[in-house]
Amino acid sequence: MRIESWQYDLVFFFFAFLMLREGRKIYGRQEASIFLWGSLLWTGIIENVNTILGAYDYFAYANYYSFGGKLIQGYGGWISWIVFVPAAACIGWFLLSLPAFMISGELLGKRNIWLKSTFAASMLVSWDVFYDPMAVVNEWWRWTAPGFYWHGVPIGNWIGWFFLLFFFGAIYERTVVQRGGFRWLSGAERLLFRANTLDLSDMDIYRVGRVFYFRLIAYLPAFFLCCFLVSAVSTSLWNNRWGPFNSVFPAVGQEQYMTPPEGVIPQQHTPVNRIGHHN
Amino acid sequence: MREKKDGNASQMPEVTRAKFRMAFWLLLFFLITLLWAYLTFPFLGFSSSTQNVFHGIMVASPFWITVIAVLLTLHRKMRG
Repeated sequence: MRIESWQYDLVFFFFAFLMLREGRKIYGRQEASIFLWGSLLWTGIIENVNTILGAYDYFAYANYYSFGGKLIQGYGGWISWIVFVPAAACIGWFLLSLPAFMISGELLGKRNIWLKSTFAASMLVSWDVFYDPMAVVNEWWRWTAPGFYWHGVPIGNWIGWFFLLFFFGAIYERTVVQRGGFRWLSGAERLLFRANTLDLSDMDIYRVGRVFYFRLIAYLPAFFLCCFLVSAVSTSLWNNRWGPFNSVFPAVGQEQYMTPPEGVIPQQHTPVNRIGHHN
Repeated sequence: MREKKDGNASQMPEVTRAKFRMAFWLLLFFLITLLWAYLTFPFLGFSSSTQNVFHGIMVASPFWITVIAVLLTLHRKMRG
C-alpha cells in the first residue's frame, strides 16, 4: 500500500505542533520559536540548494494532484511548499531535531556543545537510515545523483543528515541556551549588531534570535563544504549508481557516471511503477 | 557568558514532565513510522514488508534505545 503524501504531511505537522508545545515549556516560548524558525531557514535553504543542484527532487510523486505536470512535473503533490521543497520535509526535521537536542542535553548535561550535537546528530542519522528507504518506495522524493546507494538511498544523504544537526545544534546551544558567541564571527557581528556578541546575556531574546539566524547563514558554507568533501570522496570510491538520473534540475559534472564501466550491471534504483503515473 | 536555565526551581517538575512528554511523542512517532513500514511496499532489496520492520528496528536501535533511556531517566526524576 502507498503511504500518501498528504498522510505524511498530516502526521508530520501534527507531531511538529506537539514538539513545539512541549519545547515552549522546556526552553521558553521565544526560545522554542527561534528553534522552529531557525530550522525552517536552515533546512529550507539547504534542501532547496540540493534540489536545484540536482541531488534529489520531490516531483516524482503525485502527478495526478491539482498542479501536477503544469509547472514542473509532479510539483503540487504536497500541501505546502517552501519554493521547491515540501514544507513537511523542513517541519519534519524540526520535529525530530528539537527532541534530539533535548535528549542530548538531558543525557550529556553541560558537556562540550560539539560533543552534544554529535550525539544528537548520530541519533537522527540512525532513524533516517530506517526511514529514507520508505520515502523511496513511496516516491515522496527520488534520488538523482551518483553515489553509493543502500536500499535506494545514497550514503551522502546520511552524511548530510549528520552535519545538519551537528552544526545547527551547536550553534543553537551556544547562542540561545548559553548566550555566548563564536570568536571567528565576533568581528563581523560587532559591525552588524553593534554589540559584543561573545556575551549575549544582556541582549533581549529577539536580538538573540537575529544573531542566531545570522550564525546559521554564516555556517552554511562550512556545512556544504563538509558534506561535499565527504560525499565526493565516498562517491569516487564506491559509486554504484549510473545514469540517467532524470532530475528536473539536471546536474552538471555527472557525465562520468552516465555509463557503467564494462562488465558492471547497473542496479535497479527506480521503484517498480506501481501506480502507472511515471517511471 | 551565562548558562540559561531550563526554568526556575518552582517550574522544574513541569519542565521535566514536558521533557518526558516530548520524548514520548518522539517514540510514538517512531512507532507510527514502523507501522507505515509494515503497511507499505518492501524497501528496495527486500521482498516483504516484514523485512522493512526488522530492518527498521535494527538500524534505528541507537535512536529508540536512546529515547527509551531518556524516558526512564526522566520518569525516575519525576518520581524522585
